[in-house]
Amino acid sequence: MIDETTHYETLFIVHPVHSGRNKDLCDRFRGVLEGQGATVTHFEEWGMRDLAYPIQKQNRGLYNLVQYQASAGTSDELERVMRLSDEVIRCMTVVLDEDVLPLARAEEATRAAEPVPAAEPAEPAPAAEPAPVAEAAPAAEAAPAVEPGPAAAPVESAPAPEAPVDSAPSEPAPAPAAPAEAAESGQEESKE
Amino acid sequence: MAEYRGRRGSGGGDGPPRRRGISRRKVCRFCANKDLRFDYKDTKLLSGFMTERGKITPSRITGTCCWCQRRLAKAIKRARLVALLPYTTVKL
Repeated sequence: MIDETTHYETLFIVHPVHSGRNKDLCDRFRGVLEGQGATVTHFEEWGMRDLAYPIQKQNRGLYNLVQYQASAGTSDELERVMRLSDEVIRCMTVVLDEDVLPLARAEEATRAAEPVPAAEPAEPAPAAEPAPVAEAAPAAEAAPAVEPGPAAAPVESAPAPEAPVDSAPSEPAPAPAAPAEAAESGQEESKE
Repeated sequence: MAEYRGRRGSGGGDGPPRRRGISRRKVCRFCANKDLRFDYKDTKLLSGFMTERGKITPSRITGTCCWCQRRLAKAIKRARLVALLPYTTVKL
């Protein structure tokens, strides 16, 4: 049997009156999918959200998102069950493609994108440590790569403490130039 | 004579003056930034390509290229179907 499965995504809105039965509904739809031989890859409850326009005289609804891998016909069956149930006020199934990515992958992408500044220095460090043990050449490459991280941090921190130190002597420096006229120097500093 | 011609609007050379201002060339945001996706769930992005009344902004205004405009319109229409975006903001 040829395994021709496609990645689908179904977004359905549950009537706010039946919000207490949302869990049961989700389990029911999950059962429908698994009964059809589909693999649920992601299930997400968005919770109660405002609708952009009233549906069945309701201005709010419980959004749920399910992503699954299934063969042809499974999504039709799921939509049929959803349309027959009174709890679901709206549903839509789309095929996942390059525009609508699988959410698990999308989450990984966002995780990878967000902690880039924090994770990158941390990740190469452990990778670089074992590498030098095995190979000497990469050690030299890894060493400078690792160094800038810690080196950059001290450099940044170093000027911070130095700055007051430098400024401290600089302030007294003009003071000896005009020790008697402290008021004038104060005025000059304020002007500066 | 000149006044007569102008009133009839037949004067070829006396038409409205051409605007020769400095116009910045519009760039398709989706082509410029490859990270942007036509995801119907990204209402924040899609609403930026809609008017206040909820209409899809023409590509001649936004500068979106033809290929991207078609996919953008599709994403907006999907978002409208599941009430993530409005069809219109006018209350009946």
